[in-house]
Amino acid sequence: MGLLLSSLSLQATALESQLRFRSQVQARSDQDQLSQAAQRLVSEINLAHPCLLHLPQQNWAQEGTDCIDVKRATWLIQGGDGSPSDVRTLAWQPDTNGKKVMLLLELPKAPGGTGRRGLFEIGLGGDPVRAWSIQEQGLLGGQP
Amino acid sequence: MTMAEVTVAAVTLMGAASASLQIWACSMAGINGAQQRQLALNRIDGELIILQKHWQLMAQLGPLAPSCRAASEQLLDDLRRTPQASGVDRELTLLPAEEGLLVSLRDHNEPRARRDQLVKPGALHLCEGA
Repeated sequence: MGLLLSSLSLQATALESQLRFRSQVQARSDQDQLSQAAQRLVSEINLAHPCLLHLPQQNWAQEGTDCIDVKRATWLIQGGDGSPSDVRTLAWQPDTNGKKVMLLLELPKAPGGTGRRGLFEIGLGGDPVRAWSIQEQGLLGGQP
Repeated sequence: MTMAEVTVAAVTLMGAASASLQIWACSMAGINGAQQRQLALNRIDGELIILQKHWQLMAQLGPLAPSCRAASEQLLDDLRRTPQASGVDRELTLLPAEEGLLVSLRDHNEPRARRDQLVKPGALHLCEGA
């Protein structure tokens, strides 16, 4: 009886580790999608709209922003057809000394669930200032 | 207890012990496999972090080329010369136009352990979009 119970316990451990592995593989796939979206967004900003580097995302789509019109700014934030990706830009928050930006992106929501979010730290530098590093800070939220 | 009852009890006990041992052996194999899979994930994650640090250092030296396509080609050449971790397969795909370079990392023995990193030179100020 003891042997049977310990065998079943080991079996449960093995099944649990298989499920954990699947979840880790999915997390890496989500992280890669978010990271690709971050690369596309930051490239677009660096090359075409550098005035956004120091501007919080909530101000991007306001009238009077120097280097981008409202329509294009909305397109960068919301994702969708023809935009850098179908990933939404939830936050672009420059720090007070102008050296870093915190970027928060969200994958499309799964039915009945929440979209997974990825946090990135964008390093700024050079003259003129441009983004020159993108560091993954981790995933937030999850699948249904 | 009759002889027949003793025999049935002994056979039942042997059967249960044998089945338990088989489950135990399968479970141990599963746990060993899980450890190998975890090592595979750690290996490709480590390789990706090394590459990301490498690109970060390159970016601090300034743009590789005015054109983003040319910068992607230089990144490709650079990666072909960069040593790769043992047990990790690296596949490099130069994407059309100025879409950048796709770096796919796979564990040699566990293909489900994979990372697909897009590198756009424009995002790291490795080109000027000219």
